[in-house]
Amino acid sequence: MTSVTADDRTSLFGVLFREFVPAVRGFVRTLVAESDVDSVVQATFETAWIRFDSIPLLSQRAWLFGVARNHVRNHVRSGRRRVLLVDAIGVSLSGEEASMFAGELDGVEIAPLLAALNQMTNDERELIQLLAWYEMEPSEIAVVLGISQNTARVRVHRARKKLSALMGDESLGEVAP
Amino acid sequence: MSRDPLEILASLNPVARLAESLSSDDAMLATIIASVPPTTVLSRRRRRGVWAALGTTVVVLGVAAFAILRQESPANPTRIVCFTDASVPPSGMHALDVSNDPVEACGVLWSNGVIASGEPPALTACVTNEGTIAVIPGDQQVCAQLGFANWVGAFSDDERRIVEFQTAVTEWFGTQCVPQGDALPQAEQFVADFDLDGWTVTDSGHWGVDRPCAASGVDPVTKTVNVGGRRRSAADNTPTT
Amino acid sequence: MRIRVAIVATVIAASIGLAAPSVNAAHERMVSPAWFEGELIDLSHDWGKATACNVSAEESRCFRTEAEMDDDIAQRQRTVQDRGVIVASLSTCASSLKLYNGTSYTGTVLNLSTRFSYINLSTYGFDNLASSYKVGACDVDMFAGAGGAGCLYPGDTSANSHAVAMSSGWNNVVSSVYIY
Repeated sequence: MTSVTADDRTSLFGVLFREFVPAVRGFVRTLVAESDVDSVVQATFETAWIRFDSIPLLSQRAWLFGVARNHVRNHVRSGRRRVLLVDAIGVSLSGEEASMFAGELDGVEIAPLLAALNQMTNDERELIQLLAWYEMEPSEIAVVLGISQNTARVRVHRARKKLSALMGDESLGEVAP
Repeated sequence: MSRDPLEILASLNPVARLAESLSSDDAMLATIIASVPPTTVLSRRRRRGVWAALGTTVVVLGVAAFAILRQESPANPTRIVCFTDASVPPSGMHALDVSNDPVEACGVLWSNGVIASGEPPALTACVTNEGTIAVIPGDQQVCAQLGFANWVGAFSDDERRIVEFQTAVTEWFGTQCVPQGDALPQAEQFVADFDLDGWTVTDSGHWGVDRPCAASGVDPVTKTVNVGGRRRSAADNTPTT
Repeated sequence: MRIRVAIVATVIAASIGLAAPSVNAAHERMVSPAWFEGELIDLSHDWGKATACNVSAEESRCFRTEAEMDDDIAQRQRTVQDRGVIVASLSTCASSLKLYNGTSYTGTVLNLSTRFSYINLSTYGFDNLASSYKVGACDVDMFAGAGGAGCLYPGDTSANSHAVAMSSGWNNVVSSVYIY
């Protein structure tokens, strides 16, 4: 087995950092106020450096998100978690784009979707967001949330069904668990 | 025409706008590497870990995803571990059955000189990736620094009660000779005194002239208290501290 | 620099093969955590490469060989004595019960010393495995069932007794023990 020098490890960590800091930052921005984002991102990667040998090869992003979530729970001074869909979208859209919420996107009304999401629990919304925004497989979601893969699959299935039911169309919920 | 709500949601995805590199990232990287001492970083020889690759599609057959548990309640509330230092893996570890506060329990090992001599350090209770409570020297941040969750608050009331119950029952039956006629009623009284729901007390038998005293066992997993006959012991009628 | 990093990473990745951290496949919370070579393992689930485990209220450590375990126990006792600390408590027997999953003291060995309580061997992944034993300084009872239930083992399990094989019909039967 090739032996690895400390320099190599530092280089590899730098590569990991540069690849994933945008994603982690974006994720953390949906969770905390802007003034706390930097400290959480830095704490996340400090943990990644300490636990460098343990980061799973095939789900690095999910692992980092899980660590970030944990740091959010422990570090945030300002308190309020910003997971609400509307907040997260609203802050990044210009005024013109934000007015889209009043109308439609590709022939579909957005307001019912937002209303449906607001009726779901925080955990369900978090799951839906990981699916829709980060295109995560249940196996990655399991890593982020710290649950078993089976549990993740069941929760994903239930969340999809519930969302569709809340939007008044049961048939859309019938996706493979 | 209706669309999958997830598709709609995906098309509203703000992540692309929220995810960005900043000019300060290089400085952050340098700070991270400089601030974490080399001894804290795991040595490759000690951990059978997996190196992070370049984030591309390097596929290694047989590598399983490593699920990180964030559970905050242990399965077996009586057993915790005391780390001897704040690293993963620690250079040493003691496992304990706790009576009450894990931090206090490990603190006793520190102040008695079992772990190290000198003034005991600040200790924090964390939950490891495997769902075990670990008491680690350091402040509240030490858990997250090591990739663990903080163990929030104390045991739940239920868990603390079970631990105290276990200790009380074991001590009661182990240090005196409780005869057969009293064993079941007293065990049941313990369950009632500790206000435990759904527990059963069973008699394992084995009573006899040469086995006149009660032995006991408490199993929090099956919520069972067992009592049965045993021989007399030198510990019977030993005063407890 | 980039190319060098890429080559190093590729070589490392290729050479890792199956060297993944061993993880409880069900990702359940640990019932019996024990320390083995830098990892926490759950004895109730899988001993992995450990063959000797010492379990008590104070200690849960596993080792590749019984000799290593015995050395570690002896060293801890010396260290504790050196520090002038009295660790031995009422609830721990001074010397332990050793259960072996093979006859003639072979195979994996579970070291127990907690007194005054039925110990369910399934907790430590040792249910229905005992094939020989050595009793330490405290008398022991062994039972076919959990929680002291089932038949009482008829062989000699008084202090300092030992047996290269279990009594007839008792091989791989013991499910709980009680240390006096």
